[in-house]
Amino acid sequence: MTLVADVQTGAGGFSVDAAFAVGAGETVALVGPNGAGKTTLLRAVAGLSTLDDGRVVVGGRVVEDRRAGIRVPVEDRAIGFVFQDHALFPHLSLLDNVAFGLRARGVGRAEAAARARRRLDRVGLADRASDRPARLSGGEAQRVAVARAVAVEPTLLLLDEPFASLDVRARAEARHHLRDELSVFGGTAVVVTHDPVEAMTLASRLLVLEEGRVVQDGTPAAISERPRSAYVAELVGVNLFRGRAHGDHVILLSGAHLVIADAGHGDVLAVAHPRAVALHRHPPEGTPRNVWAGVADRVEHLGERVRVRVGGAVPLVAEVTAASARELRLADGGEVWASLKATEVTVFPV
Amino acid sequence: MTRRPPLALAVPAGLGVMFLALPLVGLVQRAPWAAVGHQLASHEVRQALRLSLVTSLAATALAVVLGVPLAWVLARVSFRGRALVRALALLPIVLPPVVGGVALLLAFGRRGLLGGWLAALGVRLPFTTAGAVVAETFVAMPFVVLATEAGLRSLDPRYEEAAATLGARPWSVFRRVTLPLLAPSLGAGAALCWARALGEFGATITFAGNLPGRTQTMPLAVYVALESQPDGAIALSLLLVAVSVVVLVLLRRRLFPA
Repeated sequence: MTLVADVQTGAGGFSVDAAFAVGAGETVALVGPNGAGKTTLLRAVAGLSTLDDGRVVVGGRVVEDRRAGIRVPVEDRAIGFVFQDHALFPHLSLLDNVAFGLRARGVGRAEAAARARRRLDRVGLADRASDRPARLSGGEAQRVAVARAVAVEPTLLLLDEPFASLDVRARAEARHHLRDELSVFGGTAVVVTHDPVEAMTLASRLLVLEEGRVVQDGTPAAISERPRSAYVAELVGVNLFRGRAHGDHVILLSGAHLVIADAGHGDVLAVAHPRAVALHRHPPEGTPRNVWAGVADRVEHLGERVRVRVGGAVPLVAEVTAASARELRLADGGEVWASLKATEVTVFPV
Repeated sequence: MTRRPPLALAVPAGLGVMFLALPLVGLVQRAPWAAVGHQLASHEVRQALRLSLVTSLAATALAVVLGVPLAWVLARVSFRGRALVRALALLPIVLPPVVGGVALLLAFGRRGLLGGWLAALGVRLPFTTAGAVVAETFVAMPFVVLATEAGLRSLDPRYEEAAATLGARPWSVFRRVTLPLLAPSLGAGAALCWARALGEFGATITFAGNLPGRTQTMPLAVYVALESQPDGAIALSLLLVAVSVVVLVLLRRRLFPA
């Protein structure tokens, strides 16, 4: 385990009591609603705030243990941190920003500059090395912030909502870049996000935090299959299809076809919200072009809404009102037809 | 916004402007313009001018060296008595300068608190140029502390946190991140400090005396000259006004943000 954390803290106004571990090379998405304490938890692990109780072990080294009276200062923890608004030093060039950590750790000026230039080159900003951060777009600033954090090769990388300050269009590209960076970095990372697509494209495991407590921990598939709260259901309980896009349709890994509205090519992740899935007792007529037969094999009530897992050639989750669940007599089991409009499917290249 | 101010405000406001402007008008109007250059070229004036520049710049440097760390501690470390220390740091602004001079004599004078130690070290402050620097520093340092602490408080703490996560030790964070980001506030504070030190009169004459060439700075020279050669006093005053105006113009963006 690269990170073993058991954190109890009230710093930052949110009370957090969370224990979790992250394995070597693993990328974990820390998700949760606003005010759940995600940033508080991340800052406590990095040492930017103090624990009330608990311990943090990074790469086998105890960096904080309240009871043993151990507290390694931030600068000695070997934990990289990417801040929400990037926090690039405004008075330094991009090159000096990326070289900063190397210089601070005693690497010579020329050597640090050469290594920083290689980092900038990899994120496609080598020609902007002497620019100040103020001249960067949000996506570029984010790339520099990640390059700066990984330049010192930390044991653990923490990213606090790295895409929060980007607009929707920049996000897709930034996500792509970050995924590349993380795989090159090869290290262990925890990414705070509240976007399910971000979480699932970046991370192999999700850690759901609500009111300062870890409420769920597992792979995206396991969590979306069995969300333990309405929030988790909303966040990660989406239908995810991996496959290869061929123009107006995606051939899923199972071989089934999924018709999409936007043309796409190559490997994609198709996302459809359970609310967009309609259920029928008889084969539906009309416009939906994605219709699959299946069996309603699990029915869960989440307040006024009912989540129905439909097993079949294309397993998916539908969300219907309690009234319509009664009308369809879903609790009785038996064959149902699930339909999904092509326009309700969002496709992300991966 | 109100376009036409009520008379009850407009009249005193106008009187206030006149009250502030008239002395300057008098100075400019009475100035022996033809002789200004000649007056400023005289030996006494050049001596006072040089001494003023040296002591005020030295006082500013000393105020920065002592005041910036003090401001950092006030802004970043919470300790018992912080409010008291802050009040102490700002006291010289409201303290009558003459009182400051008396207090300096009682601390650093021959029979003051540290007088014996200073004498043992061979240091004499009262009635020396070094004493003039000490008096000016005492009176002007609050401007550095005030501006720097305000700058530190408005600084986004994440820059310093980012530097720490990159492995920088606290001193290195201060030197490579905090200080450069603080430069505009520090510059403004230092400029105000310098202007105040340049104009210092009461504490200097009380603590350091009025010795031409050693402690007679420009304001003291103006005061002395007013009796014997008023034209020289006016010329010197004009020079000090010019310096003040330049400082104000340089700092207008920071002092009066639009």
